[in-house]
Amino acid sequence: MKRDLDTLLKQALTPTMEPDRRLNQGILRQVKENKTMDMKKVRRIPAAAVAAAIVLGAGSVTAYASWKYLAPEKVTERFHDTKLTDAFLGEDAVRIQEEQTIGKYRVTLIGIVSGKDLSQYEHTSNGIVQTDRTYCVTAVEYADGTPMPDTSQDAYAELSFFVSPFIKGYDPAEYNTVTMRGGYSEFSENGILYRLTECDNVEIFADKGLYLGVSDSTFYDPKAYQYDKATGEILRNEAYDGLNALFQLPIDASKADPAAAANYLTTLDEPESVAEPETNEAETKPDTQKGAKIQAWLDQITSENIGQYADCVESTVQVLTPDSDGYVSVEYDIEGRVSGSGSVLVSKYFEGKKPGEMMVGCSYAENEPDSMVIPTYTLNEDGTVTFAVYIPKERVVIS
Amino acid sequence: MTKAELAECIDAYGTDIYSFCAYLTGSRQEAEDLYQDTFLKAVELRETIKADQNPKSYLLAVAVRIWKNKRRKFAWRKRIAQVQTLTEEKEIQSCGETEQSAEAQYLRKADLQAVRAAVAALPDRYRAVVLLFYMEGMAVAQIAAVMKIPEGTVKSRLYHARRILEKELEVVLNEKRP
Repeated sequence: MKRDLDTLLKQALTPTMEPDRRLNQGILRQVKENKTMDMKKVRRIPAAAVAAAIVLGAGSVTAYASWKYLAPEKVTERFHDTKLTDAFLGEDAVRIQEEQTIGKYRVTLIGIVSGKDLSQYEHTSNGIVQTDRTYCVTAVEYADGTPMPDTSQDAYAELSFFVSPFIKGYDPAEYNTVTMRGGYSEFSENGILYRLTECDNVEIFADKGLYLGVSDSTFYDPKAYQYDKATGEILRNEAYDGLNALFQLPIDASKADPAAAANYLTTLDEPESVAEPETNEAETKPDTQKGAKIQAWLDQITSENIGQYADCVESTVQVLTPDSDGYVSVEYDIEGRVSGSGSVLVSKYFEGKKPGEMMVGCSYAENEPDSMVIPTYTLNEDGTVTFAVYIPKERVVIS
Repeated sequence: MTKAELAECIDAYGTDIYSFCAYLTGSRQEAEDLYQDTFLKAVELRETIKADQNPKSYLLAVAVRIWKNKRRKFAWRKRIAQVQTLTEEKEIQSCGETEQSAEAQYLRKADLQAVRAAVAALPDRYRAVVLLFYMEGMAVAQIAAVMKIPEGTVKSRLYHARRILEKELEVVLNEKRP
């Protein structure tokens, strides 16, 4: 008798893997160390009281008395990090009052400080304590005055911001707060979301030029910024539909340390995990040059000439009607090659496009040249969308 | 959430969440990262996880969200046959195996490993719904809520995943086992 797949799956997938006791202890310890719970319970203070507190409490920091944002040391106080608070009050801290309003958000860069052992909370990466760090305080708010949700509210879970230093001359897709062992803490107060971002010390790159990007994504979004390989400049993508603020960080070039920077880049390029020593860099980092070649190849494809470059897989052709939210969803399965799925908001995806125009995508597995497929969406006169997957006639550079 | 509440939460749902993270990522290190991030994020997002609001679903939703965001980063790293490591590490101890012969136990173990390997090889989007459905026992509507995708897409993914698994596990499914 044939065995039942459902039963077999339930048996095989019974959750029996227990986390290591030390892992659980580590979580409990981190929560305690970070004072995360305390942070979220920070009582909301009426605006008038906050203003008074700033005037009375800021003392010599008069610049912030008439400013609605918390001073950087006040932000770190909320995290109970007295050491970092002292650092932000020190001479090496850079106080900034620069704001950018993009789309529905206003982002304000408030302060930055770099150095060794500035925080009383250790940041570890692969078990190694990272002590030489950069800390940056930013404020994000809705430009129309709508209060940002408190971190205890469900609406907060829907928000994602990516705050990261970028280095001129280095592709931000590869060198950003995630790859530079970063992290963040944040809280809302008086409708403003304050974020304390930290990562490895970027001051050593001060002679090259430093930026701070703030986008409404969880990780680096290559659509939000443009990297000019020729000049090393990083620019906002003006066509990006969302938040993509970009500040120049006013860090004194004399603080650069080219030797330390070169050494740091070497360590950064090493395999991330000590437990996986055979990891090869060439296999683990996205090859931006390769990506550019593929993009250039895709850019020449239109609905009129796609037949020259690729063959349509007839079984994938589907006419999709947007659902009540305006999305079309699709799944396809090309036997023996690839399967995939997608969902797009028609109004946004085809914004400014005319019926008949084709949006061309690309999907492939790393180092598998034959896996490449080209999913396409074409807007029809009646508002429906025709989806079709094409297979390149010739092998496109992947491996 | 107090530290005691968090400890209770870990105690009650740790195995479920860790198993999910392990099978979803296929790597011990990534599983531990995801598991840890899930609880820390859960604490950060909510002052309290109320018992009547299905904490397991909530934690799984947090895990899925973090995993979706991290997938790109995870993909940078070469996966080194972690699947075998994970599947061999813990064997199912239920189902009254004590009465079975050593050979039967061996065959059963081999079958279950084959199933897990096939699930591990599923494309990410299929694997996630399969784990939520079969491992965590969630209904289609719950999975849709956790994954933030339409119910139809959940059904479609389950259908495609089953088709792939049926093909991959053809031999196992057609063999008789005591």
